[in-house]
Amino acid sequence: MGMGVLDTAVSGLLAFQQSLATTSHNIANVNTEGYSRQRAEMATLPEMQIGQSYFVGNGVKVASIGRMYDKFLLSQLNSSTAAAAHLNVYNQMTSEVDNFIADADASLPAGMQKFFSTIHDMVNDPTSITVRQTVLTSARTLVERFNSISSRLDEIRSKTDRAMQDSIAEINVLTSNIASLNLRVVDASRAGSGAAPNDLLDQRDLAVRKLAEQLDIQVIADERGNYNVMTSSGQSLVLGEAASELLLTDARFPGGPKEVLMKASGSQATINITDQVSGGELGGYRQFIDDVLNPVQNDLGRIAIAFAHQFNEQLQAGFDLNGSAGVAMFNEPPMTVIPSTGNTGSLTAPQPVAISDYAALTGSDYRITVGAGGTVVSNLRTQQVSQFAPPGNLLFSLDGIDYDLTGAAVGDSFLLQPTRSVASSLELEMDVINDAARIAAAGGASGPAVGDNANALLLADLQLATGSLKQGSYQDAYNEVVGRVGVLTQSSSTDATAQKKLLEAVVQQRENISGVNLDEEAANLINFQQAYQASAQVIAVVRTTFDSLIAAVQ
Amino acid sequence: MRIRTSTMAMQDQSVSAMLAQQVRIANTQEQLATGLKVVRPSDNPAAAVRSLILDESVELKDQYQVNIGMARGRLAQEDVVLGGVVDVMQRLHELGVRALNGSLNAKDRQSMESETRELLNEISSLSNTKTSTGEYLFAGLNSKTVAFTGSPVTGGYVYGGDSGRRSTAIGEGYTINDNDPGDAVFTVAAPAVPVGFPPAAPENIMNLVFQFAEHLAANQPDSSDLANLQLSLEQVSARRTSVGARLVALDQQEELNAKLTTDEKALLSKTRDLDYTEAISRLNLETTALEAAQQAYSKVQKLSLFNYL
Repeated sequence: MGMGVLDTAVSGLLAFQQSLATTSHNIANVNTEGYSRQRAEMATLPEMQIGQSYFVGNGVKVASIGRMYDKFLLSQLNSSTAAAAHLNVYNQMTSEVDNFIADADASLPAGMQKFFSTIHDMVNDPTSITVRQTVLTSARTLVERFNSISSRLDEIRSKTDRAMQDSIAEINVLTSNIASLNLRVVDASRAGSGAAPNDLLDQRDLAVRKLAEQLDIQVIADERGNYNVMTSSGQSLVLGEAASELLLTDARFPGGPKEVLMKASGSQATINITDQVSGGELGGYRQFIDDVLNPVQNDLGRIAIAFAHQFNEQLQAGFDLNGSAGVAMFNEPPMTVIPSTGNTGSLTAPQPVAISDYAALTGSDYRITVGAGGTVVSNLRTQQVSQFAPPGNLLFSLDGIDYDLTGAAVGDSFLLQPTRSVASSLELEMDVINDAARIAAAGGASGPAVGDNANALLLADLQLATGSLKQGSYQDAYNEVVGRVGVLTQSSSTDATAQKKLLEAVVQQRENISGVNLDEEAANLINFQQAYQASAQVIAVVRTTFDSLIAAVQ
Repeated sequence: MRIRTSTMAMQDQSVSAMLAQQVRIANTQEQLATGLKVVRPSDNPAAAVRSLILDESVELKDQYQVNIGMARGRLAQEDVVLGGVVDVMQRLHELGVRALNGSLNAKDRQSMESETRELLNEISSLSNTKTSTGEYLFAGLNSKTVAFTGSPVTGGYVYGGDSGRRSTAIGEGYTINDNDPGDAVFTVAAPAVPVGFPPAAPENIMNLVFQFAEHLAANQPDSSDLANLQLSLEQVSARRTSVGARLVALDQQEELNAKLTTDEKALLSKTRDLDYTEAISRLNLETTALEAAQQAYSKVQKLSLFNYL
């Protein structure tokens, strides 16, 4: 019996040592991201039957060390993380455009106003070369405005591209992490005959959450303990111990938008999953490019090309100071057409497209696919699809653009960016730069009437002409862009804040269950220390009991 | 299960509370620094767009006011010059009346002739007045060409300009002529002719005055001269009246533009300018809130059971 008590006391010592070790582990990991507090679960040792009459308890053991977590919360945390990261990135990037698009000193309206003011000055004094020089100066300023806003957008674009590249790299690291953690978790569980490798599980959950920060995912645990991770649309990113690899590339339309390709583990074949990527930072960047960056830059280009063309057209209808027919003041940059690398037809250059109606331009990009049954033109902004069946499948017009696809083979596709690069490449024509007298202010053709300002007055009228663009005047169209960016930034900010609150609530809930509380651990420390001391005391009592027994026998 | 939270969550919460306050303060600070309540379109998209529209409208009206100033300069100059021509024509008309007086002899008429040629020279030089921009006021659009060539001695006044009129914009969709071509100002449509002569083609005033001088020289005054001088005076006076009417129109439009600009500027200010009183009191509130969050943080941080172990 004496030995039984001693064993029981020792079992207590050992168990409380484990408890203290677990408490110490908790305290040490108070700041470890993704850590779930652990608890040593106690259970009685098998009791001993004495004779036929009763059972005597045999002490305590640590049945298991469990981590405190809620499976449901973890999956909620993943989806909230993906949504919050998405909205946060989208809002952050949109804010960058919002920050300068209406800046009084750098934006378009001020440059436009100054330019048309000098045109009015030319109306008032058409024979003055000095006044004409100021027209050129303000024209240069206006062109620089277009250029600088567009190059600002280009900077944001390359920043976004780099961020997406980083995001893809991070995804690849995380998926292979999760795959190798799967391997270790399954191994450890097998070795521990069912005991949970808590820290490994935490690490894997954390890796999954970090992955959710990059894109929206679904996680399904299999019966062996693996996490199988898929994109929200079901493309498999991690399957057991194998991870797919993502690539960001413009291989299909070189120089066009970057697309997301997926290469399954051990395979060389790639699948284009661009349209299936949503949520997370990657989804946020993609939405920013599609909903804000492309439309804004295209619309800016649309204003630039309509302005340049309409202004040139009016200049060419007039006469200069020498009585010669007017010449263009601005270049009219061509549309960007990118043939797919897989094209087999002979149509690569020249431009298979031309603008026929500037006021009908939409500011969209288009993907044109020539098929056996006709040509399909997808508007990449509205996702609208237009079909052109033979015989009108190679020569047709859409949204102010004339298409001539003669020479294209069935299966060929093209990416058309009608106005993307216009604002960047707008410049002044050399003819007028070199000779301000060539600005066509005169309207009448009869002889060099130097004081004629009729055409200058018509040029000045272009400022308020409401038929210039779909939205009205140049300024109307720009205002529309400013308003749209403002609304998108404002609403995405509201959404991002709301989603952040939601995420915080879920994080809070997770912390409530899984997080380490130092006060609690301190209390546990005292508790376990006292229990340990009590067990030690039992040993002391057993010893004195034995001592008195031995003394009685002596 | 007991209600609990983690140490990290508590820490995070107080830190995010401080960060959120700091963001609010930064926003208010930016508003105070710029004097605007709409710094970016997202602050109030509708107000941002309204500001752009008002900005354009105000600046456009500023330009219209500049145009009005320029047009007024030209028209006022034309008014002064035509006033001079009218004065000369009135004197010529007096001479025309006197010339028909039967009691005058050839010598009297010769002295009147030299005055007439002098006055003709004056009209001719007035008709070739240049503007501040170096253009001939009465040459139409052909404004760098001398308007009228000819001589008081040999006559033969010829118009070198064209019939074009120049306009400038003084309001939205409102243009006004700010010049009159010389052929319109100085031409009499149907000059009088001596009895028995066939009707004459339109003739410019200077040639009519020259004709009068020639008749004086020949001591053969004709009643058609007086009629022509009368017609010339009426012609120039009529042009001058039209100039005066346009000057009045400029004044009215200028006043209207100024009034509209004042209204728009007031609206613009209301749309985007900051209410400093409100912003400063908001800043005070926000700094107080930040201080509170900081105090809460440092107090909570001091709490730990470990301090008592």
